[in-house]
Amino acid sequence: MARILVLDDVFDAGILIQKILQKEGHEVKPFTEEEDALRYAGDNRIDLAILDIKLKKMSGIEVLEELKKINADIRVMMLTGYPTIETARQSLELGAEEYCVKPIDKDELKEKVSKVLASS
Amino acid sequence: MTIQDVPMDASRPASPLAGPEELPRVILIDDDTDMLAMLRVVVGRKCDCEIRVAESGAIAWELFKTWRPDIIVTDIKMPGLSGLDLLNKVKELDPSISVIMMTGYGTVEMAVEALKQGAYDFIEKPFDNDHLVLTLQRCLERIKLLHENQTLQQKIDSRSASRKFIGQSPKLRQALELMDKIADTDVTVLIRGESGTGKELAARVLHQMSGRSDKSMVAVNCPALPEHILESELFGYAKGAFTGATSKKKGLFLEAHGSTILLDEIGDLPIELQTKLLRVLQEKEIMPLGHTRPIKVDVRVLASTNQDLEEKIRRGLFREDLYYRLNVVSVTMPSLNDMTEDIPLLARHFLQLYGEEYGKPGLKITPAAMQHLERRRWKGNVRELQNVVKRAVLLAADKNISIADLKDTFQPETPCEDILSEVNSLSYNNAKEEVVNIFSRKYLTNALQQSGGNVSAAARSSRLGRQSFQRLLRRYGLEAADYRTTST
Repeated sequence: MARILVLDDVFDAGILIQKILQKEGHEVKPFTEEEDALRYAGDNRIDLAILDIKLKKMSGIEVLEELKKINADIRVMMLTGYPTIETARQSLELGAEEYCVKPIDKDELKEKVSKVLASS
Repeated sequence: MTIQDVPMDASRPASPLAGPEELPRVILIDDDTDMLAMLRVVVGRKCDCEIRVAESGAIAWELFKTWRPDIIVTDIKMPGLSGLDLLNKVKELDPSISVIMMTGYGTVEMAVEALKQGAYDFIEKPFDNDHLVLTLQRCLERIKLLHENQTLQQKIDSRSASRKFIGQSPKLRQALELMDKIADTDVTVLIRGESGTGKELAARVLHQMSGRSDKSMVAVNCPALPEHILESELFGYAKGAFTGATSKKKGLFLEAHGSTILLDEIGDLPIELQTKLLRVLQEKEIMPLGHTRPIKVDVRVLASTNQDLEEKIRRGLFREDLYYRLNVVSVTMPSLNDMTEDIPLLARHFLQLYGEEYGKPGLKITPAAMQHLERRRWKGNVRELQNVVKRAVLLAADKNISIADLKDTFQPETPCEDILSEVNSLSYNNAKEEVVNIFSRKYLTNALQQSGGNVSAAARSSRLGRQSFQRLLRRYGLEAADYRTTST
């Protein structure tokens, strides 16, 4: 079981991911605000963060950078509806483990998450 | 379109990483030949590199194996070996190579996959030529930095005295630590130690680790030259300074300007020259014979001795003020008997060294033989151990070196025929060297025994100069003192 943080500006999207991954036995905390998510990551131990790229104030790439500053061991998975090679490159350079494209299949999400967690 | 400005050189041998003076190597790969020709021209004009092209992944792979590139720029979609397959194969063989991927059917998944597998960058077609050039230039810059980093790392590695000396014993460690501290200063160093302990090596290491290392060190063996010649060798002279001075002579101190001078066996420096040397150390200037004005020199002085300078001072043979000038820092090289724990390490090192040199790899010293080495006395120190191992390697009949192989060769009862039969299996040159070794030791030992350890007398009876005789003693690890009959 892992502690997973989800950040997506669309509330329902976060809830959906929470439901899928909770069934897998993970503890999932969804957020819509960047500051809330970063604060939570600063105060709690997290194994994995799933980040959208288009957010309200910051970009998911910036959040990724901040998260890695808080704790370099946090594994990060990017999940975006607007994939570009540029953001993919940046994400991987900054230490993201995965870069996935929305809409994502339920099984693919489960598989990617367990792969990322297993690689730790 | 012209491709003549693309530098090509087929004769250069393959190298895994181009050296600093060599141009970095780039392979361009695309199955579209027009695209390939265009790439070649663009890259050839804008980037400082050597270029090869390949029309397929398979051709590129073959080329890769013989002509190690620093950068690969490859299309992804190609018949046969795809760009991603190539990336995998290349990274498996050498992760340091930068691979730039290009594709016209770029999906994000593909880019993510490529980047995760270690691609340096991913460019979408159609691309702006400038974008490609910029990416490539950034990549070349990275390679340059990697090379520089590697060179600097090597420099750091070589900047530690411990890399040149073998051994872990506290006394040796102490000496090496001190050398590390004082190497990159201009301080005068007196290197002490018995004969064969590595005083000259210590001096060379001190020089190499100093800021003066780009110039070569000048070494002077003080007792090797007669007094009057030594003076002109050290300080030089002006044209016409004395009868026979038909041209001016530079002198070793001037030769060593900006570098280091090693005065080997400083204890044998005649007292008159000691005064002149003192002046060099104090004023940092020399006065060549026949000159009226001194010349400023910037020379770091290292001196070495195996003699008891304090005793020489008491007997009035060495100037006390010079002693203090030289002895700013003194490094003492431990004798082999002070570092017996390092004998196995040293013996194995020489065993490997000479095993390779004489084409006899895989030799081993038997435990009993190693014990013998650890227990016996080493008057000639590491040099003697080195010679003993070298001889054993030459004479070893099988893979094991036993006590018999390590025994001294100059035992008087060894008849000449026995020696000849022992060396019969060696090459002519090695056999001859070995026989000469045995002969020389025997001859010199005999001469010393006859003279009761008096070097001058032994030299005279051998019709050799005293200095030549001493040089031979050093080469064969013999000490005149061992043959002195009177107690000191």
